[in-house]
Amino acid sequence: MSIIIPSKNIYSMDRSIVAKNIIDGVSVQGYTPNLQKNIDVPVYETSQIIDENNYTFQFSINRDFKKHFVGVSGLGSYCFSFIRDYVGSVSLPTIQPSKDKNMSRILSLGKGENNEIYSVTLSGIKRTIPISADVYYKPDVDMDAQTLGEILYGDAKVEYVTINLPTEAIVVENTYNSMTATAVGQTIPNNIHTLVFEEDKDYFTFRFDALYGSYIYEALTYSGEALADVQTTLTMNGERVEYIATKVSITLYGETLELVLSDFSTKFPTNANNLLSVERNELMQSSNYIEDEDNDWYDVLFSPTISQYSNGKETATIKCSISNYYDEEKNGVIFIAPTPYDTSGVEVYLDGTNIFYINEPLTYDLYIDFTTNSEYAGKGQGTAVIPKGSTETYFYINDYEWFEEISRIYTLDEPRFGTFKQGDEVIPMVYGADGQDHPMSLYKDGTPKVFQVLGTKVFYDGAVWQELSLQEV
Amino acid sequence: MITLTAKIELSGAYSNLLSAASPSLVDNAEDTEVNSFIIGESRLGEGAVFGSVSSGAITEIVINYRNLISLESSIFDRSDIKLPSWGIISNGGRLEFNDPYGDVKGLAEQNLLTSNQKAEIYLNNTLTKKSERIAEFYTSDWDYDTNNKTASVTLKDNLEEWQNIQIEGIRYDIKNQITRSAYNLFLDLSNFTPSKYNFIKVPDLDLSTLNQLKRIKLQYPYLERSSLWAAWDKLCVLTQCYIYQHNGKTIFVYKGGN
Repeated sequence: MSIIIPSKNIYSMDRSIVAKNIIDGVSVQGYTPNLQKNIDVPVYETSQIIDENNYTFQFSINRDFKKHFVGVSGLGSYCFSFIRDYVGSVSLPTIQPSKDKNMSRILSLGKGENNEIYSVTLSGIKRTIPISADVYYKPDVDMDAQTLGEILYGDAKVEYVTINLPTEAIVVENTYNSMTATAVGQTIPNNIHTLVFEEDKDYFTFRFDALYGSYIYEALTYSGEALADVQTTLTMNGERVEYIATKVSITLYGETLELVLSDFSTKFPTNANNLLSVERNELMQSSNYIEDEDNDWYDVLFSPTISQYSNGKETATIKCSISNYYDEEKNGVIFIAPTPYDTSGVEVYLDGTNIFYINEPLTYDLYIDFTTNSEYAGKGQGTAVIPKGSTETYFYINDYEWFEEISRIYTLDEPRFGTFKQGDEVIPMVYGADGQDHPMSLYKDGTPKVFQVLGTKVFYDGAVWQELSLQEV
Repeated sequence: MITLTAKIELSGAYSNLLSAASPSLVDNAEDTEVNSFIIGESRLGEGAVFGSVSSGAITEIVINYRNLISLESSIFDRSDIKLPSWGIISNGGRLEFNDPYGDVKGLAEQNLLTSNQKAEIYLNNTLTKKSERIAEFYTSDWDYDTNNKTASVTLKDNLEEWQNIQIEGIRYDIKNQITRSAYNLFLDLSNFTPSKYNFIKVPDLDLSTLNQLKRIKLQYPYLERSSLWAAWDKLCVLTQCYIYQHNGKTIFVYKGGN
């Protein structure tokens, strides 16, 4: 749930965009054969370079192990790994070479001076995976140009969506496991979170947000030609961008060892036993360290834990009023209790419209689908009038097909009032040239960027204000 | 209309304060344990003497928007929003107000305005007649401008006191290679933390924070003798968590490593 901050409530904005994709806190493990110990290796300098077709992720490690000895039990599975969260919804795969899972001989570091810097470069390619979606929709009434517009902009009733993914995508990206299990060639109505239609010049974009499993939230976008005004099935095509690592290069003493990655694992690290990097851990470590020159041989392995802290999030500071705000979740969700005959209630989703501005009365045409209600199965269209400031009222079905006029109750949460608190998630809006509010920032998939409130400053200078320090979630 | 009000508890309760103030402006002066004195509205009377202390009662001065010049209340969970900055942060604010009848000056001259007096800030909505306490601080430095009859005070939370609390170190059995999780250290440090700071209890930790504490395993951990602040700060850095105070409660929270 995110709280919308309308542009009219924002008085000044100091928005800074932090450089993206700077990965910090890389954890690299070393292994000492004689001691049968793993060690964490301090990492210095990380960088990531991305261009249109390639990307390079590079970090350097320092071999000054002695001062930073830390024991880590269990060998586990050693693999290369990428940070999962990349940009917006684009995820990077976990890479695990299958030919040498142990990887203990990838790089043997001989005796030498301390503070040697090893450079590790992971390079890869950018590729796109075509995706198509079949959208079956069925307009309930005869459509003219106006109702067609409503359909395009969010008032359509979409029966179901079928998503087709290439088999290739399943292999690479386990993010899609739950999705592909239900999505390839199948219908996933229950996974559809919202359905949004947006106009985009000669064609329109169809976007849906799907819930993968119980926690992963993704958004995909498709483009297609305009909808016909009759019930039909549309096939929409889009693509998903992925960055695939293909090669690992390790440079030592000017010599470079390359490992070509030909097989990709679909397994993400679980972080079940989060190995700590030395830099963060040294304050808590034992003062014991291994003082043995004979054991100064190490195999360098790489921990699956790369970056617990993915900096590079957009930040902003905004000064705003202490006034009414509303939750994103209010948009399009009405709970209907068809009393007195049925008190169980039916959820109705109204998509793509912000209908609940509490500060003024609204009349809204409502399309209702009671197909989930066995007793009153059917559909109808009605008008909902939402009085100012109300949290509960009645509306009447004007154009009903299957039952007598029945009062319906809907409830609204009270709008948010007052100050924000640490941890609140907000979507600041800015006033656009079109006279409408737009999110201050968007993810790559076009969804509004959600910011978390990290700090609040309430102050009085004749009037009461609040200043919010925000960081992208 | 949105307004702010600040309340500052004076150290102890002073019976003469009540008698000097207009009874009609003091809520239930005879019965209640909290006696509010509204700066600029109720009058102490010049030269009021606050000598005898009555036990069991709290006396507070109230600064409402009529005499409020400026007020600032900051609560952050971290010191830098652009970089990793796990650890403890101490927050604060500042209050400046008019003292039209010199009452606060009288208090100051009798050394009644000291540091570590509890100060609360309320947000009021006069339309809905709702009031919400948005911050609880303690007074720090007072300043009085006799020419303009204005008083100002800086506000702080009491987390900085941790820097003056020394705790013994913890050394675990290294020979047996006891593996401790960060959660164990959290519990140990909680025991070192006085209850007056309302430090968050384990049942009140959110799930992600609890998981973060439990999944971080430490081998050969030890905790050297240090200040309470330094020890908590170490654990915060280790677990990528934050400690800050909000409304009198001390919060320990993990925010996804960010």
